[in-house]
Amino acid sequence: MLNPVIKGKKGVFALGSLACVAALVACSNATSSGNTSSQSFGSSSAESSASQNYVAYDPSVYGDPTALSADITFWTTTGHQNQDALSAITQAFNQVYPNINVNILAQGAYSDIQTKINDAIPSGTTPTIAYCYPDHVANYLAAGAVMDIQNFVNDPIIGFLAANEASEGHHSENGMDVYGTDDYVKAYWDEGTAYQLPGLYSVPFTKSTEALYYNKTIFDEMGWSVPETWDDLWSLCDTIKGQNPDYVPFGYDSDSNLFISALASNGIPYTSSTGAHYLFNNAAAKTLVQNWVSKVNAGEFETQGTLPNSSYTSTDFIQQKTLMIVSSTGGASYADTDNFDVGVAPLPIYAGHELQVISQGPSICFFQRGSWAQKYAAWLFYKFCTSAEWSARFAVASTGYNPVRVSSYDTDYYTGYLAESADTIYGRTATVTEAFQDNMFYSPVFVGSSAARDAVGKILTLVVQTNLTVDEAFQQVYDECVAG
Amino acid sequence: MRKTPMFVASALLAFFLASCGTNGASSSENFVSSESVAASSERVVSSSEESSSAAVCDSTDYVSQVHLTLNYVGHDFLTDGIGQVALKELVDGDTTHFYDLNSNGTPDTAVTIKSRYLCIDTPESTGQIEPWGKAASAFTDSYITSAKTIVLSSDFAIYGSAKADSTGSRYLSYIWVSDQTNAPLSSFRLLNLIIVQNGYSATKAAAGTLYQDTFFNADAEAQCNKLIIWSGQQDPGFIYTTGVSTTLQLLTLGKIYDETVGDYVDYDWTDSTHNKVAFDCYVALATSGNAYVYMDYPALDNPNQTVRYGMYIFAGYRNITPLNHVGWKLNVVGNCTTFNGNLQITNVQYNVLYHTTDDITILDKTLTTYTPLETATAVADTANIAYMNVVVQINDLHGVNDFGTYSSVSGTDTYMTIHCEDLAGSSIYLTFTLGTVTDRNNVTQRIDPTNFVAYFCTAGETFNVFAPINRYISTGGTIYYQLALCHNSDLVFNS
Repeated sequence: MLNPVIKGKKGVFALGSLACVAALVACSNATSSGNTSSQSFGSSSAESSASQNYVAYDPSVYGDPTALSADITFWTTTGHQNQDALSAITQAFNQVYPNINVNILAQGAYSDIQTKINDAIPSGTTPTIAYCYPDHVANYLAAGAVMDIQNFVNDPIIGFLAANEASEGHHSENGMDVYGTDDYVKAYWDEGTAYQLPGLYSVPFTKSTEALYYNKTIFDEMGWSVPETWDDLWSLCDTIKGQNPDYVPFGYDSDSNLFISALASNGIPYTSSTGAHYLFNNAAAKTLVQNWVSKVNAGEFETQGTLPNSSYTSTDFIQQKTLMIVSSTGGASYADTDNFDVGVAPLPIYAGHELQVISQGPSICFFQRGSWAQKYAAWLFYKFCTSAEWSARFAVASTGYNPVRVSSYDTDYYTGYLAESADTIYGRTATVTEAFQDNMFYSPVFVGSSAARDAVGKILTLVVQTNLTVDEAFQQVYDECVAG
Repeated sequence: MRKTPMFVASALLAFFLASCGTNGASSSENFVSSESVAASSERVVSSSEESSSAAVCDSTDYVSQVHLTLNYVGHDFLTDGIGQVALKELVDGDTTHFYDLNSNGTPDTAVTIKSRYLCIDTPESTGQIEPWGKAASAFTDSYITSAKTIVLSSDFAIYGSAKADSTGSRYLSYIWVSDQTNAPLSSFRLLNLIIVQNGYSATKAAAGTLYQDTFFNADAEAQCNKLIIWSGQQDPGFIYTTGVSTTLQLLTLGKIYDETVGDYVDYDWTDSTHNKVAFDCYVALATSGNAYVYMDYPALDNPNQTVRYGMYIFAGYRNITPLNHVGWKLNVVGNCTTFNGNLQITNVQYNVLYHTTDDITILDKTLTTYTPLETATAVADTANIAYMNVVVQINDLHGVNDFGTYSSVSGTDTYMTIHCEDLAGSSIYLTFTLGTVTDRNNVTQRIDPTNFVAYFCTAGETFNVFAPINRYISTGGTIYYQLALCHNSDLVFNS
């Protein structure tokens, strides 16, 4: 049986948590859950369904969490390799929670899962939890379909106990890992609060960012230094182009990330979650794009959007047509090759500014549909997957993704992995991105933020491949965003 | 017993706080105001969420709702985005290789179109084998092989050049099948959608495509009806048990020891009903996530003679860590198959999270190098099966002439083959990936179709090659033995 009382400091903190929870109970118009002993908290001013009032975990109803029985459905976008990794975590999870059946269903790509969930909401077929991008959750939230996960975090039984001691991590008396939200990489966790409504509507699962991959063999041979600033990078492009006109020296895989990251790095407005959402149509942003256009026209720069067939620049990289690229760390395998040594470095910085790298990769959202047993089970599964050890292991298994827990980086498993794989692209990527934890940024999320991201990714292509001027391209995509 | 006082205290404190009008932490509350914000949603969705309500599955034939509208007669897939093709090779559930057609309607065997089906992603059945993968492959194959007419189309509503995918080597396409020759447009059915509707694949990357709504509807219907991959059932065609313990020697020779006979008898290890095997080996050469492995054994008919046997482990270019370490001794579990006349092991896995009996096991990390067999070309260039997949070192070769380049379809030549001879005049072929090499002057240069003959066939120059031997079977059925160079750096010119 679960023994929630923790002695000393932990016990005091737990009492405080319960007090908060109970206070909320008293302040809300909680409807009956049919379980008189359970605590209900949360105000649901616009919700008619009783299921949307959080009902705290009651051991007298459900027993010890390790005995909880439920079937949950988890929709993912995992490819075949990560599907295996998730299955492995599930097997380990079932050793602790043998009565929770996790049905993992790969639903295609991110755009597919977004469409399927949007379709599943009105038909009442949403899963218990799902992979999501925050942009997607804005729509789910607008439909009232997702839960405020903060309720689970605060749950006195299955939540994060003793958040003040999160950084050390510990085991509760029943042997479960208990860590607080402070142990998550801050940018990853805070991303789940950046929605149009207050609350926590997504939580990080596995995250990636971008890094600079370069042809180390040729760099070493030629004595070139890895560029640390964008000025250095363009200067090196001039050098490379001057020595061998056949090369397109530099590529950037994601047009959207190129634009968004550059604006974030330079402090240029992009979007806002409130008010007039679309702020990117400004002179400073146009100056950046104008520079990229000139580099593309000079044969020094390419992006996925400027290439025929929208092929990835990583394809040109491994074919040695391009000597350095910025690419997703989650797709490090696409930059890997036996034919030359691949170096990994942080993105260049803009002079006078700090490094800003985009936070990407899937989060998890929880749906309103389903029984409380299913929801508790899903939360327990999430906590298990993102415990220090398993977050580290999943990051390694998924090659190129980062653990979401700070303490994961200190596990013997992860430090051992970095040591063993120091000469691989994955190890080099992990080493570089570990230093990015305080340099991550995320964009505001609102209904339409997904469209904005797609739209700005087309600007460079519109200028390079059509007759539009930079001003015209900006205006066109801005109008698209505003029109919705 | 201990928790009771805690909850009592909490309840008392809660009552106190409530009485004081304390509002509590905002993050603990549900602030959802769905009606107010739904109106501005990009996609209109309802907020009606019923707990555990059972969905009613529909039984619509979505395939019948989609029709081929562009005329394919007289059009070519590569140039017009739609055209009739002929089957070249069945690959798996979502990939098929076709020949383009000549103007007279016969297959143009010089032009291969590698078609990756749009909007689907079936379970794997080649480098990796997943439950329902073989079934999905067989399902697709049944439609392809029974079709009288096959038409490919791109995701365009009008005519336009077909576009390769992001890898540049495959064409994302719709595959239309008809049971008629000279088929009218109305007779075609969209195979991609048939696969989804029958539960052999989830919809993938369908958003923004021509038939996205139909694909998503068919997908939802299949999930609701719990068809095939959505069934939650075990695939009866998938081998869930662990691999049969054997040796590289017996795999290569196609033998098994029959206790009733008291001798080795012929055995087809590639039979899919029992081709899951487990064997010990050493890593000889790692290549792009795949590997060649080997093991030395006494000959079956002569215990005093040691013979080296090799095998190609095709991991589907995944990062299977143990395969990257030359010299390591492993126990490999996988499925024994053939590809282009060569035995190979597929469906290997190594799970760093949770080791299972289906995973590769690392037996010994002591060795970190591989000593190749040094052999003469004349020996290698024979039908001696014992040499197949064995990594050898052959010295003093020189190029004789070009034997051809192989396109990745997108117009970029990827591979080339050179006819080589050794100093004694014995010949063998050498396959090579076009790319950057370090030449005899230690200068890095790019080898492409315009210069590779001159590069390798310079009179008086010889080179040494470290590579596995395997077979290449031409479309005409001719068998060629070749050195399949894995790393360009494994070819070294003699000064």
